Amino acid sequence: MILPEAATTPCRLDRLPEAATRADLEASYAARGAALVMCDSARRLAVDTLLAERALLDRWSEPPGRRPPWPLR
Amino acid sequence: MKPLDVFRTLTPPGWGVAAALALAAALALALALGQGLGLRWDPFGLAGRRLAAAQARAASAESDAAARRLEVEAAADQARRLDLHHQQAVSVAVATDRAETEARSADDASTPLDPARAARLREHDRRLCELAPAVCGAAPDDPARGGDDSVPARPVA
Repeated sequence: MILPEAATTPCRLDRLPEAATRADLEASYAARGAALVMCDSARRLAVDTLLAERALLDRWSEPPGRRPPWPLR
Repeated sequence: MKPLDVFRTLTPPGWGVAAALALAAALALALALGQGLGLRWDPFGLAGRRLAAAQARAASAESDAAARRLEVEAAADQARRLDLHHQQAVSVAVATDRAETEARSADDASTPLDPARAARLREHDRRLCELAPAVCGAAPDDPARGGDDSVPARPVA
């Protein structure tokens, strides 16, 4: 199973520009929150991919007679 | 010549041939009768080996088909997960753009940030970037690495 690109992309830390204004601070605050949410989404994507891959291997390694009814979920 | 006279005229090798023919005929008859009764005579196990090979091929084909089904299902699940992530990205981008637009249109939007506060924030960011350079983007173009506290991250509106 291919790991999505989003799962391997580093999270992003938004930083203040030079001579920052209050608008910059507020925008940066919002951008950091957005980055956190997207980073968590990418983390969940990576974990789900890993768990799905493990489940796939578990199902594949089960003897045919013991395989759960199709489809599993 | 009577039929029994044939036996009287047989020489010992002739008797041997006759006995072998009789044995072969008896064997063939026994095989035919056995087949009719459902008996199988396979001293080398050829039929068993052919059956085992066919069963192995069938099992392999079934296994391959099951693997393909699993792969298709896994790919569909992964596509759903990716779709959810992309939807999340779009929603987050819309919300963040809206927040930034409102921030830029506020009355005090262009008021410079207190220098001491800005310095504290940049110092903290600089420390974070030292700890986790990957989250701070392209390091070579980052003046903060040269000891300067200015840390440009995005274009200033």
